[in-house]
Amino acid sequence: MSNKDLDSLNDLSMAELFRMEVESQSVILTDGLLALERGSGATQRLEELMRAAHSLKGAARIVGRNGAVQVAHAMESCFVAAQRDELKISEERVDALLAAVDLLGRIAQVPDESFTTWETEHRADLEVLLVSLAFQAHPGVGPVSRPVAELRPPSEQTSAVLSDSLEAGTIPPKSSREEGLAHSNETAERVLRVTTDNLNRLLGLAGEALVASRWIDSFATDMLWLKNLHGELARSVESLRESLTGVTLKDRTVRRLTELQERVAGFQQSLSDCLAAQDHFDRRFSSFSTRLYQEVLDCRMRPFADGIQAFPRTVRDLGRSLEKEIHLEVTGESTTVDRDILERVRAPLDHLIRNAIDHGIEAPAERQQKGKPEVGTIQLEAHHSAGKLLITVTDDGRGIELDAIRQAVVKKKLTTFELAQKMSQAELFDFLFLPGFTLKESVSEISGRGVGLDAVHAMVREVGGNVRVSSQNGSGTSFQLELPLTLSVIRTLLVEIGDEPYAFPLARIERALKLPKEKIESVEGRQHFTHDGHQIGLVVGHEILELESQLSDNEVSIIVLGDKTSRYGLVVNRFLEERELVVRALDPRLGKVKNISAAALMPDGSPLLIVDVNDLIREIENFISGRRLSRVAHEDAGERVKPRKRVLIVDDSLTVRELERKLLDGRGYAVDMAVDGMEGWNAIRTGHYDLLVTDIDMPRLDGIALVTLVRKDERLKSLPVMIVSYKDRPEDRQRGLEAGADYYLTKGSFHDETLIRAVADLIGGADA
Amino acid sequence: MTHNYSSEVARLLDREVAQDYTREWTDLVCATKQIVEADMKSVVVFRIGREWLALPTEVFQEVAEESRLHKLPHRREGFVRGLVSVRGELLLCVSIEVLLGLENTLRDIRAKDRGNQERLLVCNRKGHRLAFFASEIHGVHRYRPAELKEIPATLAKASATYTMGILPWRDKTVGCLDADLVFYALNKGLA
Repeated sequence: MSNKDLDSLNDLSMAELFRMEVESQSVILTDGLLALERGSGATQRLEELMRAAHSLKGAARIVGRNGAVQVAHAMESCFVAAQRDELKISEERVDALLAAVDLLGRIAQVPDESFTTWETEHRADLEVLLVSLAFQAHPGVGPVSRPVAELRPPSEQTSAVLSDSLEAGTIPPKSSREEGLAHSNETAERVLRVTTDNLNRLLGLAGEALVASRWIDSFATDMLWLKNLHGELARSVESLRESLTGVTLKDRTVRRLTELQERVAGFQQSLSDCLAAQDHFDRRFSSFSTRLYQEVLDCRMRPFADGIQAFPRTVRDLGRSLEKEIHLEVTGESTTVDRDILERVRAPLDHLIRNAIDHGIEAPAERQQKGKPEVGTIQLEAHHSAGKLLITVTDDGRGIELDAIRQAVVKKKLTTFELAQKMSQAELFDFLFLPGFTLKESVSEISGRGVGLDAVHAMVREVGGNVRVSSQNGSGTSFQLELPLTLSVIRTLLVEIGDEPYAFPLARIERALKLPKEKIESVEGRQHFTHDGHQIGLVVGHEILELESQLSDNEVSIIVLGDKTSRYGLVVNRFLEERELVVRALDPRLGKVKNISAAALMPDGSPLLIVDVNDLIREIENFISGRRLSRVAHEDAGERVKPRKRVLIVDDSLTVRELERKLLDGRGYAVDMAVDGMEGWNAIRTGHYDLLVTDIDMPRLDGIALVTLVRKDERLKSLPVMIVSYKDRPEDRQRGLEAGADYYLTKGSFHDETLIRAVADLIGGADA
Repeated sequence: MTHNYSSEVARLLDREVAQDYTREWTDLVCATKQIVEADMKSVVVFRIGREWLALPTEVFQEVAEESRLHKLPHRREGFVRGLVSVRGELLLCVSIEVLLGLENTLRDIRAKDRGNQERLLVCNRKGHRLAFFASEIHGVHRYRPAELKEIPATLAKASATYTMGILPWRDKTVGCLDADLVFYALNKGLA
């Protein structure tokens, strides 16, 4: 929802509201089901589950998603039956109910326009699921006697089935939304949904207040300077007075002199008062704006629990499929984590947990043999330590055998047998994170341990963190992710490239150094320097970023960047300073900006860019190997591409647009699309098209009006225009042609060659 | 000294009113009021290079103090100029002159404009914000739709696409831009 133009929930479509509702209720349903399975607090859980299912049913009905209504209704019936002890929620039932939660999630993701298609395609899945739920909900005795499997589209009849249980009076007559809110009120602090846009704007203003608060200091300096000047003035008056002692003066002159002295003294007092008041204000304002800023930054923090909601389910499902019983223990659920970090550690954590289930924890029989409890345990822990966020995943499984790593390392010729024997545990574990490193071939019983750990490592590195492993052979493995507390604030080195400031995250810089020009060697036109006995290739920052600049003559400022496999020296124009920056996202309309990850503000409020080091390393590699085409070569290549005729398709139906696009694209035409007449009118005027293909019935501006506008426009009046519409009566055709269309086709013509032939007829082949 | 002031003030207020002055005010008061027509349009008139242009007042959010521009790497072509910061927020800065094909007139006139501060105009179109530099800003101008004249055929092709009509203003003509189309093209070309 961050992409919405406006901020409030009012602007969300009903479908989006439904999706949000499904998201929040799914969490309640999954948690409840897993808790139910563990056998905790059944009565209260069932009540929660039933409410959640009921809310979803109501929401689904509002958006007219009948499939979802049926699923939610069947779930609700299960819970109602269970509350009445007419049904036992067995493991298989939990499976079916969880599958239902998943299906609801999928239904919610389908966009409105394609829902009918989706529903038809997935009807079979839906039926299977409903049968599995209904079978369980059918107790054979009791008041809910009609099989729920007969629940077809949610007609009045189905509601009547439900009404039995409804009137039993468990659900207060509230709207589904209110219920959801009431529920969350009971369990936790009230949470508001705020758009990312809003939060970013708030952060911007708070940051600006902080910058502004620093200006006061310079005013204070000015005031102090004034005060000093004034002190000198007072002294001048004093010495004037002294020089006049003994001189006979008129009474009036003496009076004037005394008056002058008094005024100067009075003024000095006011100036001091002013300065004190300003100092007081300065302190208050700075502390206030710092706190404001901190507070806004804190808004980006979420409890750890929010990011790991899916894991209990993963552990259960995967454990069951491998016939292992595993318990997930979570500690530090309330530890606050930056929402971006939370988002980005989810995948690595998921990976580590899956690894632990799959490869770490032994089968129950094996565990019994070893004298371990049959139920395996995975501990997931989060806490803050020394300005870092530490997340640990620990299992009590078989652990990692050091000799297995030694064998694999030697086999892969990464080192010699002798050296491998001498390596410490930590050094050996480091190999686990190498791309493609696996213990699979060497030792079968810990097969796969290490697979994908390089991906985990890469993801953690991306947010500026680190991974550590420790393991006791036979008794378990522990992975510790060391992460920055927030992505919103990073420590960087500011440098100047092409006269403008750029920031490099400190975590990604290996070294920054200055070298005299003589130290740079050149081999075959490639420059490099020697550092710690290694040859490091040099590239020039402004050349990589395609900026215009000149380097200074004598000394070279170099940043050494690299990853596990390669290191490069990037020459920058000069080093500025080390600074903590508050990261601002770039405008999403820009798309991915090459080699740049985000922006920030300099202390004086001017913008700077933060470099995406991973991107930059790839760019440097391409640059050095000559894969990046120079500008001139690129333009030549561009000319060799044959120019194609351009067609604009205007239609409000996604399906029709795609169909037409595929047909024309297949014949070599360059195709652009617009979703309604208004957008079509804008597009046709700003792009250069050879043909306009438009529908008639469209929102904002219909096809007839569009064609009329085109025909009236001086520059467009001779543009070939084709109408493709469902309307096939002669009078519709007449209207279209009168408006100025050159061709009128009905939408049936996709199925044969009519459309293609008509296009070729109007503008010829695709080559321009 | 003080008694001098009060007597001077009294004399000033009690003085005989000049006949011209009375007549001037009489004319002004008895003149029929120019009723502001309901369908008057309001635009902000600004200058880019030597072209005077106008966009509807409602698209503008503010005129900002000059802010330093940070270019985006790898983008030498196109109308995206880079980032500017306005009151602590980072905004995309675009070049209207590139969109309208007016780069050349701007280059000629920049030398003359030296010392004349460029102004940063911040637009907000349906929640999408953009900023651009103008050589000079006149301010808000109101006109009747009937005043809008057809675009002369001589107008440069690119800018003609984006111009709805020509507005006589003072001794000059102002190109009234089609805001829908301008922002459509700008938003589309950002990526």
